[in-house]
Amino acid sequence: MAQIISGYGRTDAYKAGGWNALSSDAQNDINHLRTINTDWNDILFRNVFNQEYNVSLSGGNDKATYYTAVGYYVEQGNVESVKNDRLNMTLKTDYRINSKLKVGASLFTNRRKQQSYLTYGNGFTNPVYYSRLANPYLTPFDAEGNYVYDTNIQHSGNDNQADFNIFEERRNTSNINTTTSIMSIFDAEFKWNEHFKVTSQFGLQWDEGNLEQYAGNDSYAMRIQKAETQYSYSDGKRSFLPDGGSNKITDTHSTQWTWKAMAEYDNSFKNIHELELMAGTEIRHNEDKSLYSAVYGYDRKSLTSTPVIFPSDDLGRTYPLHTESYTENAYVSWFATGSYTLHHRYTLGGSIRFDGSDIFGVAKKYRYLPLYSVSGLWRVSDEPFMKNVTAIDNLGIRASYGLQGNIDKNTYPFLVGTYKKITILPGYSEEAIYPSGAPNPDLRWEKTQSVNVGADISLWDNAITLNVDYYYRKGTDLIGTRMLPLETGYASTTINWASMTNKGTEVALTTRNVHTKNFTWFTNLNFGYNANKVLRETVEENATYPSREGYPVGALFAYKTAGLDADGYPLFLTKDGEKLSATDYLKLNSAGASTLSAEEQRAQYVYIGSTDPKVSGGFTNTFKYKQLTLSVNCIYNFGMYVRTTPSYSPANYDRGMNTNEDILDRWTPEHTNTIMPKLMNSSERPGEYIRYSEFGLLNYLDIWVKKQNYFRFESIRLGYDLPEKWMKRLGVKSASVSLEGRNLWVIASNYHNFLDPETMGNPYATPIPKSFIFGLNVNF
Amino acid sequence: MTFALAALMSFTACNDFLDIQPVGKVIPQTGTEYRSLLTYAYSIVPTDRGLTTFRSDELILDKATATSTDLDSYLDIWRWQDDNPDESTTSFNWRSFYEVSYVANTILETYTTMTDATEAERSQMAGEAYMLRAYMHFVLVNLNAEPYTHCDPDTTKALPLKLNSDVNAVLSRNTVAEVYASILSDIDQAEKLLNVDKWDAGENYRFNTISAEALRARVYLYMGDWAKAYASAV
Repeated sequence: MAQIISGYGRTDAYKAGGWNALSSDAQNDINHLRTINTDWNDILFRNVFNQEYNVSLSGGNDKATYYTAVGYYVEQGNVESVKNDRLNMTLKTDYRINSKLKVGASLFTNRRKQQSYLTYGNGFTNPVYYSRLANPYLTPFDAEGNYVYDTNIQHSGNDNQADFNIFEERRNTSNINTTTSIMSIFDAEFKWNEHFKVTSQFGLQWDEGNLEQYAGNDSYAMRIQKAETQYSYSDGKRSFLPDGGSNKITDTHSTQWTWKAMAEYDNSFKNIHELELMAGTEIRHNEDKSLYSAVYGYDRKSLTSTPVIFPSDDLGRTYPLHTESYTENAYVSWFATGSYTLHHRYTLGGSIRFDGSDIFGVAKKYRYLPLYSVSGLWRVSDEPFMKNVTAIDNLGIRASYGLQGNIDKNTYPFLVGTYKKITILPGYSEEAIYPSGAPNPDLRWEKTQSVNVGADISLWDNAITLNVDYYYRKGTDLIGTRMLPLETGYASTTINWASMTNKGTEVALTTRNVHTKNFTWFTNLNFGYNANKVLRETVEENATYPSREGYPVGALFAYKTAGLDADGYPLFLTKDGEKLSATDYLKLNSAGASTLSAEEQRAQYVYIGSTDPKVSGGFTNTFKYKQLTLSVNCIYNFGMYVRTTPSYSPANYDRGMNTNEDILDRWTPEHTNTIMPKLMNSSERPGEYIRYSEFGLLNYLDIWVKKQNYFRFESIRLGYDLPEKWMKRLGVKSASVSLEGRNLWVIASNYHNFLDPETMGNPYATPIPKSFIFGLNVNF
Repeated sequence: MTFALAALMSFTACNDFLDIQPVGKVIPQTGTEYRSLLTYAYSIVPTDRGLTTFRSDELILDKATATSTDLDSYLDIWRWQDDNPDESTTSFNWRSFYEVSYVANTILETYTTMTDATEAERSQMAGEAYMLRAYMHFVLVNLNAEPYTHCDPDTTKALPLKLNSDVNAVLSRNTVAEVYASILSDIDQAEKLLNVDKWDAGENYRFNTISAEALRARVYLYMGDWAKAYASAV
């Protein structure tokens, strides 16, 4: 509106006389805006139709068996110009060479292509983001079909010179990622006798990826690149990039080989003692190479580009035209397990495992991460005294204890540095080594101890099967930050001293509710309860956000508020029940900074909850009537909290952009019964204004931390097995059709302002789409 | 027995298999690598000396013509407002001086084990490390402690001397006299080790044989010992 008024040269007149001071032309233009109502959601998103086809052939005889499968999958995205397709092929053959030796060879290949739009800069091309910020009185095309540029979407700075139209962007940019993988596995099994066998496997894998990111000359992405590369030449300021588009290609190659060997022995003696032993090793090596190349002044039609002339060395380094990278990793593991069972009822087992890897800069003894565990199982249902209890089919009690070590890959006992090129005297670049931090010669294992106790019960001919587990894990000597006196040259270092506990219960229950000749109904319930607590953790001395010590790992802290004061500013609740404004609660000065000490500032927060769920799991019901099968699959998560982004910004509200409806509920002198703060300006309460506009105080109020509980119907699937009689006539062995609805609906605690409870943490994330799938499966 | 031998051989073979040096990361061992580390130390030397000129009458800060960022950064330094300076005032460094000393100390503790370096290169680097350490402590004691000539140096506390790379050491403040004595002894040590007379263009920020005397002259100047200062300067 402001632009229309200034376009007519009437800005001052409007400020003095209001609506009536405008010319009739200006008034007509503004009124015309009222009539436009662009539904951005409708324009940007669409319903799509995806397809997947799979064909497989298998067969063989005593000497050799084969399996061949080919599949093709194509998925269109919910936004235009997003598409995904995949072609895969599998070949497997097994040969029995003699009664003892069997070998196999298999090949898995696939090629995937993902096409999408280019996201660059402020993320406007993300349709979820744009559909929320674009004004409904803006139309993407004008009457002649030309692009209309959205000039309101940018704030200030560089990008206010770059025109943006989301359809032009889609048309003139592309982001294509193609990957091809080939994996081959050779395996052999040698059975010495019925007790002892040795298996070995060798795998070889190649992955090639190619990512091509193109921005055309007529696109926001290219305009913004030119705006960022402005240089003051002698004849004026312009970009040092040539005219045209840009094309950035990244090629990745990855090779991996793995070799595994395992020996297994199991025997029973006198039908009383049973012994099972297994020992093995695994060796793995991979190499990843990548090559990045960028060209500018690019023309997609002729595939030509223009050389870039950089005005200085430093600019050349900031916009590299070619970079390469190489990483190599190697892993070696040994493992052995053994278990001994007495009388088929009492089992004692143990396992040991060493995982070594090429961790750089650690003492050799810390290379191999150890894991030891010991476990026991008592099969109560096989006891003589349980023979008469016919209701119980199976009852077992088990317990285990394990100890695991881990080393932090980013803390070194020696001085480790990274190479960088720097310039001390202008014009002369040299190589320097930047130390990564103070070395810690006392570095040792992070230790985790875990205890697990569980029981398995089956009742009434497996009508009810229940597995219950309780686990308790404690991690000690975990890597944590320790502050150092600045005279050492460093502010902090990492040492082994943090610790945490993690405990919970898991329950899996399967019940056969109804079982008649034609109809069965099964229910499956998985339930997990988890509680964890950080026992020791420090934060930097000048940190103003609390440490999690004594709280769960996913702890969320916020300021407790108590509505608004008489001027529409939020009130903060102290521990004594007093209500103070931000200035008094945080003792702000005129620059918006808190004059409290860092420790006092940390204490002003209150613990609200954790981002991890307390209870999570799944609930599935399967109904089968003759040839029809209906399965309803649900998942649930309860007891989480999420910090949402405020729905509008009281201090930084940009009147040129669309915003959430909540702003209509804000405090105004006429509307005081609300918790939504008023629109603030910098002349009133300047310190507090800066605190809201630059320090982001609004984000940490407790009104934006919401409960996140949900129960989602993940899949409802109806399948029908076509009758065998009909199928035989067509020469088909069996066939079935199915119709499945995914993510049809979700029952959740209040997720007002968001499309889906699971994406409350990020207002611009694409929510999980509803989909319907029709499938046909035919076997010959 | 052979099984144990095989196990031992496979163990060492596995160790070699896992001995991969990641591209870009390095544990300094050769002469060139230590020189690169020393170059890093040179690059992070703070420019606080220049910042102090705002306090003198060499510069005038005029509200009418200065830009707002300049005013925010330097106004409270210029008008000696140290009680409650503005949040945005540029602060003087402290930790960076000690970080340079940390690298210098590391080099002094390990320079005899440098590989792929001539004796001359090794001692030159050690000499530069002594000079860096001396110079860092010198600037620190100038900016943060009482002047040598206007206090009793033997009893006035200044700042902690950091002469080793141990991050666990507990430090306490040394007196002004102790700091100056340590600086002079570092310069003496450096003089014995420095052997490069002239560096090529681009590398001439590095200390050479003349710098030891030059720094010593300045240190004696600040100590008020005019005779020794003159003797070192000529």
